[in-house]
Amino acid sequence: MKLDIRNLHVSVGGTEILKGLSLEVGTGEVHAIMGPNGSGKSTLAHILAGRSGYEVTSGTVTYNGENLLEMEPEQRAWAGIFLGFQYPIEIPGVNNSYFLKAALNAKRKYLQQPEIDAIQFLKLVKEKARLMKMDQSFLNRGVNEGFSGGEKKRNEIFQMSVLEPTLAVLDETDSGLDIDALKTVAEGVNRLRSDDRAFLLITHYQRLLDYIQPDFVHVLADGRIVRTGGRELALDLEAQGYDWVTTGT
Amino acid sequence: MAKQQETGSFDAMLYRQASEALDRRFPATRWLAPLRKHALERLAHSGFPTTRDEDWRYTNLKQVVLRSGEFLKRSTREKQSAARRVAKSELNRLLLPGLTDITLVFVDGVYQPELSSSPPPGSGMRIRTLATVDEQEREPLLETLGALAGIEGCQVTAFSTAFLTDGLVIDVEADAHVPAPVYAVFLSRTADISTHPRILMNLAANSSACLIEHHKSLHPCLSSSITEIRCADHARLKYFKLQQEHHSAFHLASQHISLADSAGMQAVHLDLGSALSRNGLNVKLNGDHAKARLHGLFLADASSHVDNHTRIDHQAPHTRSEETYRGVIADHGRGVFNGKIIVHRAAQKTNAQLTNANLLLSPGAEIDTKPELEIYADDVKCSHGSTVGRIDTNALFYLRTRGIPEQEARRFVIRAFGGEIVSRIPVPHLYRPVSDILAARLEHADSKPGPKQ
Repeated sequence: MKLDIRNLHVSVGGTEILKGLSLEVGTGEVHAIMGPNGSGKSTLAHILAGRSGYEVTSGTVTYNGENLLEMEPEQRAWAGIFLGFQYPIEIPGVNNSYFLKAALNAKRKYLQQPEIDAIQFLKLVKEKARLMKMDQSFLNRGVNEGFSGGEKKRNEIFQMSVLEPTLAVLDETDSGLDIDALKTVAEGVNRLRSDDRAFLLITHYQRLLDYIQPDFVHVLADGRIVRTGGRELALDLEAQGYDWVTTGT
Repeated sequence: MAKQQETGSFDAMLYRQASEALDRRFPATRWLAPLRKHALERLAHSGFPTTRDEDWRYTNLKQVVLRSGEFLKRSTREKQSAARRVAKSELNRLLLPGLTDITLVFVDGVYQPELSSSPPPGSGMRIRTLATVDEQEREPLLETLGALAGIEGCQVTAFSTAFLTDGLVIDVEADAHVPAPVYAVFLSRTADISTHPRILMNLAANSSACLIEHHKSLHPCLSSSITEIRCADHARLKYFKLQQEHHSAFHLASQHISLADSAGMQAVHLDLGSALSRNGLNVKLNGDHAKARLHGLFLADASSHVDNHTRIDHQAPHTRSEETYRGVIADHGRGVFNGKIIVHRAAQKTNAQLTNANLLLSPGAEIDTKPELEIYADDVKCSHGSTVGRIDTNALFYLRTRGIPEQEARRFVIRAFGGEIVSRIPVPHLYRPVSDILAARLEHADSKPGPKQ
């Protein structure tokens, strides 16, 4: 797995949000992207997942050597990209487990693998739901329908654990979580860490990084990465605030 | 004369000939002739409604009226044709599964006893056809038929009655609870005919029963049906109507249901077919504590037109109504929803809720929705609302990021929108088969390319 973002410029409605962002993510790595509100963190997440409404004015994003920006959102999913939403969408009436089975089978079809059989699938989701401390009844409810904020985030990690992406982009997965939910979510992520999978953790607070130890920490400010370091950078940010890195750049 | 020209005037000659032919062709229901003649006179006097009538503002019957004469002529000329001899295996493919206990099948407007099965004696339910009722029942029936529907008020009711040849009379005894649904099938297999399905149902005090109406045609035709149901004190009615007419067919239907003290009903309407359909659902909450729960889903695609008019009259105190209709409109389809709730002066402590939500799938799709509340009592709780929207792009994006292709993601969202109504069908084992019918139908509706201008 290799993600290569070079000098990316992105505008929304004529306003430039990303202003020359460059980032390389290699397999097995966990990167944290931190930054103040409005720095372009969520835009980066959406651009990687293929949301429409963004205009890439220059720069490139390649994923395993392919032009990611030309791929449809579902093709990106098949290629192993997963976006954990900051605000997971409620889709009333679309059954959680039915939806997840369709998602898994779409990917398997793309990989020319046979569809997963119903019993195997049920076993898989039950096991993953248990690990995420989710009640079985979640599986038969509408996607995120009537879920609390914490339940929605847990559902995101649960979906990730079933779909087993090679690059997981988690957009503010820690926001709005109490400490127990945060731990469960972090454990879910840590369980999936492996040599053939990479993570991009987008977060405002370093709190999440107490539970998920990143290999790299990047500070995003005003549409650019202004500083890169190890885990200690996050601690410095926590202690000194963003002004410390954003001023004077 | 000039009025006749611009109102829905019809070919009076063809109509009269068709009417006279009925007397000869259906001797078993010749006793209905006075009712038919009266209805035809009413129709001749008023003509069909036009878009100048407030109730028909969005639904133009011109094409229906234009072709009706020819359809009537053909249906009265048709002999007991081979078309009517349906093999059981063919029928089984067309029917809903698991409803074999009490099945009443009409093919091309004619009752098919060999394809039907009646409730067993001792079940508390009795079903006859108008052609087979006892002689002494005829006179009272001439009074009852149309008493709820009211020939005087509605020209389409008059039309249906003018060509009435057979129908079902269903009686449920007091305290009888009939668990098996009555499955009434109105199948048209011959092209260009006009059928006039009719059901008269009576639920005596403290009884319960379930009625399923299934209207299906394999070719263009006209179906104009009337159902009248009386629920006595504490009676419970479950009702499901599935309209699956041919995509070039016309369907004009109405149901008229009255509920006495503490009687209750649940109804689900599903409109999936026809080029032009109009369904009028009229509920009268006549008794204290009577309650009605109505759900409907209608689909218009291609250039079809589907119109649902509902009217709930709260006539007595402590009555409740809850109504949810949903519309899915694709291509150049057009939907019409009018939901009227009238809370009469006596109906204090009424509780009424009405919502209509619509999903437009293409730029050419159109919906006219109008919930109406008329309140003449002062101590009531009423709410109404309607929404029109397109598929939530956030939901689509979410599903796509999980690997579900766009087209399939759309289907998920549309199916979920309709599924909410299907889940209300009062016969649980029908969820699955009806969901499948709906899914196939919605997939078809959403698969056509958008309009090119």
